[in-house]
Amino acid sequence: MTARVEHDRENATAILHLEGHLDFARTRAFHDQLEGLARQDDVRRLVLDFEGVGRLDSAGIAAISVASTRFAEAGKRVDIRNLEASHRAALDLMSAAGHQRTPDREAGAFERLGARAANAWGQLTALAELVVDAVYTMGLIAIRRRRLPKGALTEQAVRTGVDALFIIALLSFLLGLILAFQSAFHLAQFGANIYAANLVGLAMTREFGPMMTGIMLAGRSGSAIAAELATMTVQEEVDALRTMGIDPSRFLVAPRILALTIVQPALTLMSIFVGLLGGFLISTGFMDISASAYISQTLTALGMNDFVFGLVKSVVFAWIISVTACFTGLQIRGGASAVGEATTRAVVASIFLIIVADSVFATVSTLVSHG
Amino acid sequence: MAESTEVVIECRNLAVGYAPEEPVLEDVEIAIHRGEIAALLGGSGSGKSTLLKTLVGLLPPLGGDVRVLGERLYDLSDVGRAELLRRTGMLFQYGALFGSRSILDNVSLPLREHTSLPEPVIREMVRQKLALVGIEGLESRLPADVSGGQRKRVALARAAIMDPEIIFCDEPSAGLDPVVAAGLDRTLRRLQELFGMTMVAVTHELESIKTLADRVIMLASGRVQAIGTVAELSGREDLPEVYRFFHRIPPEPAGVSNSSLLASLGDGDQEGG
Repeated sequence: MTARVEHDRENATAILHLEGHLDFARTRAFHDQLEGLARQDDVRRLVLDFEGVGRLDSAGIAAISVASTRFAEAGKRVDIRNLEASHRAALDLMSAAGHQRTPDREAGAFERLGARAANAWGQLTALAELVVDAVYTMGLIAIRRRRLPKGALTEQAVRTGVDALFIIALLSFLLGLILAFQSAFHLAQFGANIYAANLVGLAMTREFGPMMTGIMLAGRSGSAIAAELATMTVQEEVDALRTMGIDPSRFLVAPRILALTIVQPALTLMSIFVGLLGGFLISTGFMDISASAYISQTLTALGMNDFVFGLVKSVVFAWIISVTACFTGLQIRGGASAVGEATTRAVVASIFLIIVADSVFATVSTLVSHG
Repeated sequence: MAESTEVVIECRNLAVGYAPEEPVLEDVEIAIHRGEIAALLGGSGSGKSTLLKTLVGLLPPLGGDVRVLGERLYDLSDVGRAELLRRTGMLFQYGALFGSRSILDNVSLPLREHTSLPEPVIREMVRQKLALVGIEGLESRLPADVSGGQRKRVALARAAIMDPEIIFCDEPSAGLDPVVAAGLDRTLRRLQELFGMTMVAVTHELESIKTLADRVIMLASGRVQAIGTVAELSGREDLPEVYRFFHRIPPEPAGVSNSSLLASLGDGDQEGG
């Protein structure tokens, strides 16, 4: 398309003589030309001469509509002349299809801050509701006023726990092994290599056992729970449960929280013992420590309170993982990509909260025992 | 708009299906003209949607030839086929909108991918197309936040945003109430009149066909049974499957013969007697 501009300075009018097709391929140049004319102060009126126009498609019509609005905003006007019947029909039908609205005003900084705060508050309230609902439901299950779906607890326990057994055992063994290697080498310089047993024992029981299991389950089981519930939410399966009078909190959330609450301490205990085994093998095999001395030193170093401390942490971590995963899974809106976002958010938030909780545990236990 | 004599979709000796040994449809001979609205009609499992998949480039034919806009669809390279398909639009049965994108982003996607139009023009085109299908002011919403009928209209706006020469529709009125379905049919007809689009609609809604279709292609028993206008086909008593469909006459139930059931169970009275 070519467009020759004729200026009528006396009447502050520009006449655009259009030639050729006004279609997808040529609309960008046409739009730019109209924008240029809209900015000219000496043009108060634009006349589009359609005499030479061939094909007119919806891109061309949209460009005319945009220009018309732009001119009107500047107190100018656009007129069209020499329209043939088919062009007139197309313009009539498209312009009859609603009128251009003024664009929505952009929110200011305070408005955006307020909206984010309101959104955060809404999320926090929803999280609190989920936790209260889950606790209440599990209370009712405990006093046998409600029951879990048949087989759900076992299924979840197997899926989240038993299937993770091997990988957690392997990592814990390696962790115990590394701890023994690193510590015994340095301690040997002071003739104190037997204290590797204390270090491995306390570190595995109070810190690494619960933490390693927590992080592994957040990555493995938390993501699976979030993805499954998010997919169910997107596909309206959760709504379907509600319409059938089935409480999603009992049907979906409670089995998952309970399963992790049972499985996580068990896995943590396993992780601690496998870690201790790793330390034992390295210390007795490479560090000239006898088996009986290592075991005796470990038993001296560890008390029941250390195991209780580790297991209490693991229950808290289980709640963090399961509640975060259920919450992000059930709260999503949107489609397939929202499922991915929910999964990522569940894992990242769980690991972050586990480390925060761990630091709180460390601070409180130190203050209590030494304060 | 009167259709031209130019053939825009042509199938010759076409066989479609998912396995060569089990074609869903065979010997399909169809010629659809520019500006025509053709309905692919047939009962469940008659092969309507399978044929449509082949026409839109999603399912290679088992045999025969498909020409769309003068090109052999399956002889083209992937790039060539993609370019040809830009000149067509598809309205999927459930909309196939991207759930995580706003309605504006859904409808404008082909424009952003295939053109270099300026943003104000893109937004205006989306607004106009949405208004044309009877939707206004929902651009910022997600598909999940609008009704099923509105989703279908949004999908139609997306299919029509590039002013395609052909629009394929899979069950356009499925799942919609009669009023919304009639409105959608009218919108389709309006688009056809405005842009001279050719339309191929898979449907089994008789009401929809009566108001929409210039010509009906009736599929049954793995074949094209008949092609003609609704008036022509509804009176064809010589084609029982076609006649039954138009007059909503179910086939005689095969039933279970009491005698065979008794025979298999044995007759207790006789044994006892």
